[in-house]
Amino acid sequence: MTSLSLRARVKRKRGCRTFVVSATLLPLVLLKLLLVLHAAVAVALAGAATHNGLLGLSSLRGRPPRVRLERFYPSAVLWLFLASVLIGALLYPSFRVDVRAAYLDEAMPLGTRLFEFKEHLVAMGLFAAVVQRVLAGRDEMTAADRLLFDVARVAVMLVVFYAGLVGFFLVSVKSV
Amino acid sequence: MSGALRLALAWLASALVYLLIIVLPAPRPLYLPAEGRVALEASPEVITIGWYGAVVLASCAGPLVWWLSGRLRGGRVSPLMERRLVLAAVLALLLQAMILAWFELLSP
Repeated sequence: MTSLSLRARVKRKRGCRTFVVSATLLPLVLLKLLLVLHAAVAVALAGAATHNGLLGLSSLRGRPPRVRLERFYPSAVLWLFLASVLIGALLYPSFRVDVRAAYLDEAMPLGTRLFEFKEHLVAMGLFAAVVQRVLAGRDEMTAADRLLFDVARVAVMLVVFYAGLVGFFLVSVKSV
Repeated sequence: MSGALRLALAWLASALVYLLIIVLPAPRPLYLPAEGRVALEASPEVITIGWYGAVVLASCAGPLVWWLSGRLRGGRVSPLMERRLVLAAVLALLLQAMILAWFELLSP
């Protein structure tokens, strides 16, 4: 363990009990719980985004839309995406200090690069999730609406695939 | 201006703001791994501002462009041209993703 991570994980005394906290000042137990929750939400999101993206691909090929599913999945994808980003944002400072700086930058720079690109794609995909949800609420779509709707759904699916694969890979290397 | 075009522009603006904050030289000492380690030594909190700031500003840029484009009057676009413009915006987004991929994965 480097001196940096030793400094990041400080012990705080509260009464007679001692807590180990990370650089984010969140208890380690809470960070682990958040990480498991992040993974659970990611699995649900992958399922919803896959269904949604496949419907988008089907529509891009000119097949007739399935109205009920086209209203359900975009909402599910947006809320799960937002939940995943929010939990990820809470974990991010700990990742930066305890995982990335303390381990990945030295031992596996490619892991850092893959993760940072994941964050960029997620940031761009967040707006795609909003776009497809806004368009899903419309009763009538123009050709341009339909094109953007389908492309946004497929884009979200691809972003979720990449983010999920990289996330699970890095957690298998070192978690918070 | 139609809804799809406005949404595509808002998405594009949001991604562009994010890209500029990440790639521009000014925030790089807070962001790049090599230089980031130096900033991290000084203050762990400072290092995270770059990404959070980029996400927050990008989240503001999209709705702002959406609102501004809604105030534009005139300039009717044909359905075919509208579809082409949406496609162009999507291709621009793809280009931005490729720039970010180069920036993170391939640049030395």
